[in-house]
Amino acid sequence: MKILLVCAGGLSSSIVMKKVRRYGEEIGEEVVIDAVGVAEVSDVWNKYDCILTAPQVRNRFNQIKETAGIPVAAMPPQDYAIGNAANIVKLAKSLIK
Amino acid sequence: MNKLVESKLMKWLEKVSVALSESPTFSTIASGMQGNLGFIMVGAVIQVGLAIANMVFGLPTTNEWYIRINSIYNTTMGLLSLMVTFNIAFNYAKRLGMKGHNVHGFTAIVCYILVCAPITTYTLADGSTVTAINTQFLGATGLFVAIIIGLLSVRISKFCIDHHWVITMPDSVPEGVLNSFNNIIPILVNILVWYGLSTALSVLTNGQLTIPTLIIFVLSIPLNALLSPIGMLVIIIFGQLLWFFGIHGTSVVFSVMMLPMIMAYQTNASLYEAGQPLLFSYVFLWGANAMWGGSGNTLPLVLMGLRSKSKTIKAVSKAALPAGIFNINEPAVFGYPIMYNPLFLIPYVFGPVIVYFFYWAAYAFELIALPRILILTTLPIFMSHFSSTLSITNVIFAVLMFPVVWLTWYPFFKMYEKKMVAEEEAAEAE
Repeated sequence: MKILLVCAGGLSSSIVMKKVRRYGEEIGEEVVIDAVGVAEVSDVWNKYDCILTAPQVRNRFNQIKETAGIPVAAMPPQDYAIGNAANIVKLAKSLIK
Repeated sequence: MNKLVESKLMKWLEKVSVALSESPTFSTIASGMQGNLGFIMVGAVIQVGLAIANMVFGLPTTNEWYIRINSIYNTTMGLLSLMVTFNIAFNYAKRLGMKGHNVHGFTAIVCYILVCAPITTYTLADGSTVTAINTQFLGATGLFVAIIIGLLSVRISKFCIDHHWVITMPDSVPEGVLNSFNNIIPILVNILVWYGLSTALSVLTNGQLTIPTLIIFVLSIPLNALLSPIGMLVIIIFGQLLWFFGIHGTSVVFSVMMLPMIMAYQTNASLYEAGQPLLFSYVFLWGANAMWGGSGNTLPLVLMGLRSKSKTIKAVSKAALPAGIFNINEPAVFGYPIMYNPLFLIPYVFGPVIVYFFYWAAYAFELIALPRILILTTLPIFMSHFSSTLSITNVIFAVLMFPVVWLTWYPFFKMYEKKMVAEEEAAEAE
């Protein structure tokens, strides 16, 4: 499973990214996850299975959906805030199926 | 307070920001600028290095090695507008789905140099000649011109292509050769338009006006309104309101503020270089909203929450602390949550306004140093206060602001904590 996290500049999403990576190791599943800023999405999306967007780039959500040819979903603010890796992985799985 | 949050004005503000950040032109400008951050950072590193060499080791600015190293700064920050011209044209062509993005980038650069820095042969005092370009508008001064030429030159090319103003070739000509021929007319039309305008303007005004001076003059009118005490207040409040809706307000506002910001910093960098006093710009007051823990100064709130009686608040604060120290506020905004939380509207949006007035006073009474080194990235607290000025007084000022920010949050934190504790107890009793 390859997840791309998107926030404004790739800073706050990198905190969530680390937590999901650690979670992936704990449950023994291969989770590839990277974090980028909105501007980079168009260059990298094709290497991933799905995109999860941070709440603060809600205003760019439609634009991201248009550029990327893979499933896109927004992370719930609460899960994003504390980096709830279990919920985030669950959300990603529901997108890919 | 609930009514205000759901009012029409708030809904409208939210809509405006979405429309603003989704427009192709606007996002092209933002991404075109962001593509140069690396060069700006290299320029800043050179500046810091030279400033330390100058202050700590007493290396004079006239020293041969100082000048040599400084030329790296002059060829990174000093060529910023050229890079922006290319990046904007490149990104815009890509956004509009045109073929060969590079060609459009270079077309824009050619037009920019023709208009802002034409290659001219000068005769020196000893009779010898030198062919040179004037670098006056190649740095941050020309940024507005760079954006306009970057965007419009692509539009002109697109117009030519859409109207089939291309040289037609027999079918037997290979595709690759055909593409290079296809660009001839758009490039020519661009040159005719830009150089024609520039020459006409120069002839009509007897060389008094050029395209860059005209554009800079016209844009200085709205810009001066923005870079005023009220303009900056509006910017700060607008950015905070967007954050309150959970939208990255800084990135929306930054697309507008980036240019005046870079210009003010570069002005001060060159004044410092020349040993002259630095200039104040209202754009420097923008930092008032991100002194402690990112936009909205959320770090004190996070610290309060660490020992809260409410389990939710405590858990969120623990998760938000490391990010807060690095001036990243998202965990606090979405976790507490501050977004759409009527209780926090006042301290979150107007807390920075209080800091703004202190900040303004500190600059006005010359208690703190004026910034001159531009580091356009999120830095941890203290580092962010120190890096732009290399002055310890600015760090001391930020430390003094901590109790102020703390007090703006405290009563609202107490109210929220009480509410959360009551809710948690009710949930446990069930």
